[in-house]
Amino acid sequence: MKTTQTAIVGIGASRVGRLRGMSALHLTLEACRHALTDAGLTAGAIDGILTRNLDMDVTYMYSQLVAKHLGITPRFATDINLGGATAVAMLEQAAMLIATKVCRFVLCAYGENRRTSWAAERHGRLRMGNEDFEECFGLTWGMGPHSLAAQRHMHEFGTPSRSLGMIAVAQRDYAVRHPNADFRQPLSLEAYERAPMLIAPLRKYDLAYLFDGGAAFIVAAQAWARDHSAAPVHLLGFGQAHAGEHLAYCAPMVTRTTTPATQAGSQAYGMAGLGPADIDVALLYDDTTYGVLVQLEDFGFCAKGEGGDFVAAGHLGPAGRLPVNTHGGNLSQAHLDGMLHVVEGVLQLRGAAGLRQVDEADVALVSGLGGAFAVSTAAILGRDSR
Amino acid sequence: MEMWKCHTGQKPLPVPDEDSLVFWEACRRQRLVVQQCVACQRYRFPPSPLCPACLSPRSAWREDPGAGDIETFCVYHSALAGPAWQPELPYVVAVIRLRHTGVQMLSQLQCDDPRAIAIGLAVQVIFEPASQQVVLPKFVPVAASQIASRA
Repeated sequence: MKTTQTAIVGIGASRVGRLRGMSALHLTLEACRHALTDAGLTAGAIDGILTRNLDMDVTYMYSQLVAKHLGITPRFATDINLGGATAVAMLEQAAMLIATKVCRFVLCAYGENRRTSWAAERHGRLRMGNEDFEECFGLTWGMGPHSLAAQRHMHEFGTPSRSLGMIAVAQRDYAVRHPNADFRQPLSLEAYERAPMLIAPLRKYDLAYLFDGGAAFIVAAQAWARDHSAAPVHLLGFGQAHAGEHLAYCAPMVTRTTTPATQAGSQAYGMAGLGPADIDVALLYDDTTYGVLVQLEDFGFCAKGEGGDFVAAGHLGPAGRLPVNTHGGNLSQAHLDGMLHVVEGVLQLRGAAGLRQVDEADVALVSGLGGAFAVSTAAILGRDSR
Repeated sequence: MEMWKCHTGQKPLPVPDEDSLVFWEACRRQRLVVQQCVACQRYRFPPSPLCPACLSPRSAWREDPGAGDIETFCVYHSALAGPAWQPELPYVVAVIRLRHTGVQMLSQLQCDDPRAIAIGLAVQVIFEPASQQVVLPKFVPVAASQIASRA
């Protein structure tokens, strides 16, 4: 096992769900405050800040705005937006800033009230770029491409709808044990199958909703973390791969049954000197249940086309051998572009995940998947820094 | 539907720009046209300034007869795209591979029964006016298009 010489030394999250009256900025700052407390740092120590610009209220240089409200004057600040791949991309960028000694402490933060925002009504809506060749035919971003891709996967490999249902149920089983999850009422496979098709072949519980919430994490050098951090989680490897495509004009990526996670996974495993068999907890970005299934294949937990069987064998969920999305994921905890996947990876490796703690969790894989299937990110986190 | 909130009040229509004007003008004349690179002969869609294969800026527009096959599809049973879509439910969005030029095109499939749609089904382009200015290229299953042309 190898390491990038960097570590996550603080995490924070706001409440999540439907938080009418809390602005995106408020949620972001709330998460930052918790992450600073968790790391034992004052805001003044932060010399790098990475944020994600907002969807509902397009903001000029959001990282500067957040820095201003935290009262800090960073050496480096920028916005990163790779959709669902954002959080892990922030982690990678932060590690690079630390490794090059440009920064000592990089704060990564994103919060948004996508559920209850007033800004959308004030400013109109985000342009996704697919208005001219996709939206006019009734395709919605995110869920639409996932439904098209799921249909193709089912056609090629006979992937059953029931396996997608088992993913939704497994993640809900974890969310039930999470004090800060939005959906905490149990879900049965029967209820999943009774629920209406929203975009066939995907049903109601296959799709992640929009939420309000914020989360943040702080990255520092491993050497500092060893001496000063109560519970550092080490960054062992990264990957990021782009399919050379865009959410607009999604046709190629939805007919292919793979994602760039194949390459991002190889990069991350290679950097860490580890493989899929070494992963104790997998936090796989989940806009939909299908997104989880295809990444199980692409990250090498099973062969291409066998995701349906792998899930059907009961490997996911609290009783399975590969705990996946132990926080409930986008589907059941809250949808924050992967920020909460990183936070959960840290909690699991600290042994601080409460009722959903995985026994002997030493290595976690955290993934991001953005622009439907246009970009994958991967980070491997370790409890030890060997 | 607030929980997804990615919709607009009305159906969005394409606004032709510098790159796409020729395509949308052709649709108004009931013609489907696809860009072909003059340097490497590759077809590409949607319209773009440079050939992504060889970066040549020189392209020509070729007519495609509009016959294709469904590579994948999905069926909207809910108006997630916005309330304006409610009257059309259920509707089918599909990725079609055009036989002549080989490009993939995302479009809507006009059909009476979405349960009859399958991957591999042969389809044919039709042109549907969406406003005074805009005509959208949609597709119908081939059997249905033959019936329509006989009528």
